[in-house]
Amino acid sequence: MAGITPRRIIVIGAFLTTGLVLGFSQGALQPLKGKSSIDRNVATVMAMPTLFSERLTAAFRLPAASAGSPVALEPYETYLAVRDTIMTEYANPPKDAKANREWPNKLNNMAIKGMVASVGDIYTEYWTSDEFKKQMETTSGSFGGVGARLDVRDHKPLIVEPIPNSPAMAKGLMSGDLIRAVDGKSAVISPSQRLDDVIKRIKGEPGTKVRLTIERKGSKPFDVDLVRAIVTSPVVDSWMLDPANGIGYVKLDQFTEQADVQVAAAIAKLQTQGMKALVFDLRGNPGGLLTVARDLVSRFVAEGPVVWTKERQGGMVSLNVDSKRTIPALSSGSIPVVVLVNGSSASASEIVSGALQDANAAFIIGTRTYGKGLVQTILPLGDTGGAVKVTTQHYFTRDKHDINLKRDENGEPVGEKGGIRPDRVVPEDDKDLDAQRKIMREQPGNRKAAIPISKQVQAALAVLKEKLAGSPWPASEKDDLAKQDTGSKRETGE
Amino acid sequence: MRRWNSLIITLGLAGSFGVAFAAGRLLRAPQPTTAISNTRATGTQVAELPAVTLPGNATDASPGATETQGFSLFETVYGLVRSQFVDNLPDKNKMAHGAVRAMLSSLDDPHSTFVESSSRQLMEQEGKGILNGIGAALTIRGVKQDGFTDFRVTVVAPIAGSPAAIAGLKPGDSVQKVDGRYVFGHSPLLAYNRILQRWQDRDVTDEEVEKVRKSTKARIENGMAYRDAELLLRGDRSAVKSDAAKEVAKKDRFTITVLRAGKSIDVPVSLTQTKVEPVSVQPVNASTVLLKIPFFGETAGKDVRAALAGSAGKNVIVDLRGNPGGDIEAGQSVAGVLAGPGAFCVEIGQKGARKTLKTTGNALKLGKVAVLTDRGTASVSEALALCMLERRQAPVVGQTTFGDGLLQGLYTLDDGSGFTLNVGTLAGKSRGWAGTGLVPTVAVPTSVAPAAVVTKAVQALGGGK
Repeated sequence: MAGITPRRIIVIGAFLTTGLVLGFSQGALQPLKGKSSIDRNVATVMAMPTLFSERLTAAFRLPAASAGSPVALEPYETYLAVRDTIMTEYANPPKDAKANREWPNKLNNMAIKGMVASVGDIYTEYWTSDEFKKQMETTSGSFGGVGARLDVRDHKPLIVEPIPNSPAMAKGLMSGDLIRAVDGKSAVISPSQRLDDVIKRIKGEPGTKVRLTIERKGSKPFDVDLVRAIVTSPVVDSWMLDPANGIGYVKLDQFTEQADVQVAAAIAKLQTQGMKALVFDLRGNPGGLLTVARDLVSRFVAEGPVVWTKERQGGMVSLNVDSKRTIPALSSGSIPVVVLVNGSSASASEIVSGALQDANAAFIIGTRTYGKGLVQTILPLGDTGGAVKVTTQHYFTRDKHDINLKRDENGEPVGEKGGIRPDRVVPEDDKDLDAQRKIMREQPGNRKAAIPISKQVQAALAVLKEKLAGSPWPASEKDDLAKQDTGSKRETGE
Repeated sequence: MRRWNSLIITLGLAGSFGVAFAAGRLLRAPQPTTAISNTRATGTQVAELPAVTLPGNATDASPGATETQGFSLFETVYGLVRSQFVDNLPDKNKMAHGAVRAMLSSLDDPHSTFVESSSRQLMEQEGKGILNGIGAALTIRGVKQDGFTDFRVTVVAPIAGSPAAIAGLKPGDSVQKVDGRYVFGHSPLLAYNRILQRWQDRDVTDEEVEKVRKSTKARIENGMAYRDAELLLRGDRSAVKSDAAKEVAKKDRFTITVLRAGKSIDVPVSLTQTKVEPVSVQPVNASTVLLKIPFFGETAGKDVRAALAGSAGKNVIVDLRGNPGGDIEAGQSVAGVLAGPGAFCVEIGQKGARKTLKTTGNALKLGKVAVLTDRGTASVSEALALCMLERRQAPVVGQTTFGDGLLQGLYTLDDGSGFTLNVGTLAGKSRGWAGTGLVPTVAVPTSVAPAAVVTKAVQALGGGK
């Protein structure tokens, strides 16, 4: 069991980040649009999140020594010999003393990354301890900080809004406040100090102090002392979108540990406001925890499988609905549900939309989803190391559809198309998205502003109004492949 | 055209041809070393080290290795991937290559790179003076540009009679395009990521980011990394990685665009086999012979000794024009013929450690020595020119040399693949030439006809007329 801690975490997120550039990877070249680029907040700015769960540990064994042909290389021995050659012979070792001390470790980490990359699966990768920590912060949705969504205005960090129950909220920071300094040091954004750099200074261990110098309209700049705390950034946004017809709206940004609880709370609140129908928005949601996807599906579906998984050896295993969580109004169809998806809805989003589609529990609107039918397991490597994320399972939807779209090492699709195909294809082109961005720019504190002008949201409202008026769901377009392709092509704008 | 802020920061020959190779360089790695062995560039023999079997639970006691309960981190991760991955894994060789590639790429040194076994065979052929591409010695030069290092495939010297020579390529030409496709010397993503950072800071608009994203994508899709361009021009067609380069690899002739003195010039080239001319001697006058050494192949020392056998007592003009270098041992033995036992040059390795490389063999009885150089005189040729100047007070006649002091090791792995490593810089006893070139003692402008240069050398030797 060589140093492997028993805890394992399953991830099925559309990770495109990688610390290793062996070639000129295009993975980083995804369009901004549809990637929740409109939302900027402390936890998710520029991050490409994931999906997680626990599973029973399988025994880990080092491979048995093979007889091998005379020319076969043992990866470990090759690594050792080459690393030692580089260290003793290479003409230009790092000059800086610290970099030089770290050099053997760096070579070690690079070798492991390269060996793991050679597997040829973009989701299988090795993280150093620093990278691992960062990933965990993203996937848990929690971090040590003061709790404020940030943007930039006039080259200064702008507080878009304080997060509820956070130190920032408690100390009365307000939407529209500009941060002039952090601990007395300028927070002005410049080529040598990026927003990320300022955020790093604001974040820190819970219990420690940070002083922000605030500029607020109508008063002199003043200091606010805050004690950092664990902040869980909200991943759910919800409101009564169409009060006249009682149509509620719930948007989920990613499947963090808190996601199911937050969605359930949002739905409960909307129900008290008399919700008759629901728009559940999973557009741009890249995934997260597998168990949270299961919990969420359980809200909408009363019984049966949520998803099927299959490892290299062994048959299909189902992960089933947790009936205790079911919300009867949703599962019975008395509150009809439309789920919105697009090409950036991945992994856990696809499990949820796929299960709801297969169970006839929702009508899916938008464009064909990303197509990630693979499950990763994160294996932490103990105190000294980071973690390795390995693709361990294929998954199939509730009705055992394979939705995986193969991608090459650059993240570009190859072969047959995958993804969840919506029941109604409604693309949004560059012009539509630009209009939405424009509104967001003009009204930075107002997250609701752009939603009503989205064609996909409008389509959802139209379908739900018909449904509430007594019509059945419209005929599904999910098997009209020509239509499905038009939708996805327009969306990516390529 | 953009204006670059240009500063040459590294200099050396790419691939094998024309490179000063470290010969007889054995691994000093303590153990285990089964996977690796070292060979000379011209590599007829491969020095294999005894196989050491690694016990299943061996720990890595080397500095920096992170251990996890007795297993190295590498072994642990390898074992996990092998046991848990959802599909079948590639073979072990490929996984070993992945590790080697990544370590070398972290050096960010264009002269330290993994070499597939097919490419290594081609490199060994080049070491013998057989070229399969456009027939020019090439190097990679790093140029600082917008805060990034841009690596450029640069011509050192076209070989006589090669497509490169016929096309008129000149030392110093750097390759901008191959068959109309961009050659990039650093990842276009670096600049894109910088724009993304600025976007997050609200420094640039969504529209600007989108524009840069599209142009970056187009560049990547229609272009190739400098490494691919180098492989194409060396005729190593099967080793190229990008789709664009694979398309070009199907062609035997295409146009390349080179940057020469600030101007882009289109040059038609073809890929064909060129053999470097052998060492030759011809009389200049009754007391002087002209010794032409086009390249330092592994037999150069023996060839020079044989060619000069009938020239006892005569002055020798050593013609190193267009000689891009080669096997450093060959240089050591040519210097032995011309100057006898003693120093050849100095190798500067890690932390400035200096090691004198000696000549091999005894001197022939010869008269005075002069050397002819031009801009294509590089690497081992520059070492020989300086050695002759220092030890035989030879006049150096011609133009300032190319300025390549790179010493590159070529190592082989047990499966036939290998890697190159920048192991040091060559210099003379009194001075170096890396980056600057060697200034001749008798400067002759390029406008002077090649034959007239020989006359200048005769005059410099005091031969009159």
